[in-house]
Amino acid sequence: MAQGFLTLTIRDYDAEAAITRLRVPTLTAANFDAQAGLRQTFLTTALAMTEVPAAAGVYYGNEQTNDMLPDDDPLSQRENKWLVQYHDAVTAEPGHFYIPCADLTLLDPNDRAHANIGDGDKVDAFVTNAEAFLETEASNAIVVDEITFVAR
Amino acid sequence: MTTSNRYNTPDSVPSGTVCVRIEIPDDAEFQAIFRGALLPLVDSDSYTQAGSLTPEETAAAFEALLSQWMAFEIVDC
Repeated sequence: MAQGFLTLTIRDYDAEAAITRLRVPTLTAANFDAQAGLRQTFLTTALAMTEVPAAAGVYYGNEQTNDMLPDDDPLSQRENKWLVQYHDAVTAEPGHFYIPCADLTLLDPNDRAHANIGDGDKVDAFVTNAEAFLETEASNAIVVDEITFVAR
Repeated sequence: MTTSNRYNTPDSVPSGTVCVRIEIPDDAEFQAIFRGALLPLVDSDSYTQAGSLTPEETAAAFEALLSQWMAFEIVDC
C-alpha cells in the first residue's frame, strides 16, 4: 500500500542531524498541488518552532510498503551488494548507489567482480531502466558505468 | 560535538595520486569484502571537518578514484 511521507532533516549547531518522519495523505495527481501547498505551510510553521531557519533536507513522496517478512532464500544477504557506478550524462560527475541482496548468479562468468553487463537479460534490463528513470543531483540523466559485487 | 570513528578532513586535495600494492586472499568473497572496506572513503558521513576540506570534498576526491578501484584489475605481485 502506498502512503505519503514527509521526512524533515534538521542539522544543528554541532552539525548533528535530527530526522523527523511524518505520515501524510497519499499523493495523487488530483491532490498533488493542494498537498504541496499544505506541506510548505506546515514546514514554515514547524520550523518557526525551532532555532533553525531552514531544513537541511526535506523528502516528500509516496512510499510503497510491501511484505516485511524475511526472504526465504538463504543466499539473500544484505551484506552482498551491487555497487552501481554511474556518471552524469552532461557533467560527467561520478556517482554511485547500492542494491542489497545481490543475486550473484548475475556475475560475469569471466570477471567475478562485476555484474555481466551485456548479458542481454536481467543486468541489461536493469541498466536500461535505471538510465531511463534515475537522475543526478544536477537533474541530468545517468549513464551506468559498472556494477560491482561488494560485501559490506 | 563530533562523532567518533570518523576520519578528519585534510586541508587540500593533492594534484597527484600514488599506487600501492596490497595482497588479499584469492577468493571472490574475500575480494568483495576488500572492495566493501574501501566504500566508507567515498561517503561524506565518514568524515568530520578538521582541515580546510569539507567532508563532501574529501569524499569526492576518493569518488574520483572509485572507478579505478572497482575495475579491480588483478596483477602479479
